[in-house]
Amino acid sequence: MKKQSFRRHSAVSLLSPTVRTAGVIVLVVILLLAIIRFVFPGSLMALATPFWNLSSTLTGGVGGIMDSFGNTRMLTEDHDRLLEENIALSAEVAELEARLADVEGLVDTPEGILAGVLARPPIAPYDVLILGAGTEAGIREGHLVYGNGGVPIGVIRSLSEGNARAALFSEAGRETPGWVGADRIPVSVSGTGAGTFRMTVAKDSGILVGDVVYLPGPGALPIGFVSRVETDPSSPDARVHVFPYTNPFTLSVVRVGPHLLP
Amino acid sequence: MTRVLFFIAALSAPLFFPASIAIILAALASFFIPLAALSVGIWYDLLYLPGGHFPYGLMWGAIGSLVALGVRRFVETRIIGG
Repeated sequence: MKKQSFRRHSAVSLLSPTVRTAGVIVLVVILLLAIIRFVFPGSLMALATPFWNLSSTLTGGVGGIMDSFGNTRMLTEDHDRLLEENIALSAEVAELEARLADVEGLVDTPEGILAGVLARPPIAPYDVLILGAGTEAGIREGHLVYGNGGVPIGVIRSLSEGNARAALFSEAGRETPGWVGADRIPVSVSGTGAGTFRMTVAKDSGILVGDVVYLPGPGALPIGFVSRVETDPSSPDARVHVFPYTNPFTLSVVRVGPHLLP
Repeated sequence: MTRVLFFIAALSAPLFFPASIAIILAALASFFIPLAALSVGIWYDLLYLPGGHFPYGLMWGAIGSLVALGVRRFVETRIIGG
């Protein structure tokens, strides 16, 4: 009798009633949110969007405050130097615009949809970008996503009316066929997370440090260059590390489409 | 009140902080509410999981909650044992 009483007491003392109740309430709320996500996909993104915008604003504000503690003299010198560079660049831009106007109509203008990035690594896990545009803007599943300079960085994986999730090519474990160098040596580019890539190639493949790495898009699009080649005397393979042109941690705007992932 | 604050901080972390800080806040919240880790993991997957990807948030959240339950049982047993 005493023993049974001890076992019963031991079984219920694992969690107090308050903690059990709190845990159950929390799980029910989360499950409701899960149902909302699958039944009304856009509503969860719409709910989270103001918080992501606030997060970006706060991050920028904190950076500005930290900058204000810098040496005043250095800041003044930097300001003057940047002002001079700005004047020179403005003159250059004006000249280029004039030249472009002459050949307008012969030059392809970038197509696609500009989308703001609401959440990016390291806040967004799974090497995902949350974009502030969706089906309403004309984005479709499978559309290629481009960063600065037209560098392909990922593909649209899921979307709702006003938002989209773009999976980066650097997603850990993702294999994407590509090419390296002027000879277009075919390789399989493996994502290693946080915008970085790696490849395993034959030792005698001829890949050298500095060779450009390309992914398929409309043609071959450069995504980075070979930064290091590691070899082991006991292995016929070489491990190649790729330095990407685009840093996903700093993306604020991307271009989506119009091309689909081949 | 402390439990509520820690739990709110843990649930807000996926929107504002990197995963490493969110994990720390979830671990702290789990000390008071063991199922908090599972909730934060599910919340992460609801926000960010792309289609066709393994739900690591759910997996690690479940493991975190189990560990929190085990730690609570160990601590309570030690307290009862004196």
